[in-house]
Amino acid sequence: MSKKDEFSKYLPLSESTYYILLALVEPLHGYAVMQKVEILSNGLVTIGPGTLYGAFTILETEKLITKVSEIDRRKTYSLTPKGKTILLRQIERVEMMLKNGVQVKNFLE
Amino acid sequence: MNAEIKKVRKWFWVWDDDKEEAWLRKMANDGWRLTKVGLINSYEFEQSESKDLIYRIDYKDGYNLKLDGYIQLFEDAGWKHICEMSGRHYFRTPMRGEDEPEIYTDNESKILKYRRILVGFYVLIPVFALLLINRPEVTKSPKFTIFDVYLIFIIFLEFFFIFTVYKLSKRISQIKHL
Repeated sequence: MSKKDEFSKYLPLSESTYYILLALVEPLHGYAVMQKVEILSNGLVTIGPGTLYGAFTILETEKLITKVSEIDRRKTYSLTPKGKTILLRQIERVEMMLKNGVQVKNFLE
Repeated sequence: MNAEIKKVRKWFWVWDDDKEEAWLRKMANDGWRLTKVGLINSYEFEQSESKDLIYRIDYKDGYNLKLDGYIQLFEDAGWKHICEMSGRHYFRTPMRGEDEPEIYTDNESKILKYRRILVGFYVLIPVFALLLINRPEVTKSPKFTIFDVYLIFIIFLEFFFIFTVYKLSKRISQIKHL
């Protein structure tokens, strides 16, 4: 997991980017991503349009996501193979973080 | 009957956009709704019923490319696009819930907004420095000439740009420490 490769520089993802990529496991347009993230996280994570627009721009430039259609000025994006690899690597990191957290949690309670 | 229009001149520094936003909110609460922002700190308001409206100013680079999709995304999220002035976009939404609605919901993306503004000023510093170094040869004259006015103006702008970069950098480091 600690190997350095072309994907390492993207990790760890910020909380917003992580949730945006999770949402894009199915093709969605911007506002649908914002709604899905809020539902997924039980309202814990909200993504404003400024944050989302910036994230879309960077993720598209870095080819983690790609535009699949554009209807009524709303662009629909989905994950690229590169985006999927990076998201998978992030999920593995989060799994490790959770495992470590649970171990420590027993001492705190 | 047409609504009453009020024009106000008020200066805000580019790094004090939160103060500008708070002032626009106060104006809305006083029954004045922003309609237009003009060049050099001029604001146009339309009289309307008093309402608690939250304003946010975004900075978009890239010469308004892909503006349609950008505005659509904000409007879908409930933000009304009011106007644009040199890359600065003014949005507003009614106050709801306990916390003020935000267009930037994490520090990373908020920092990127200030970085975009910063880059614009970074570029100007060497340009104006070159204007100072490569100034035309003028024979020494004891009289104050139009050339001196030009020189003072350039020096003044150069200091203004450096000061702005300093202030924006400070703003960015404050966000990081939150």
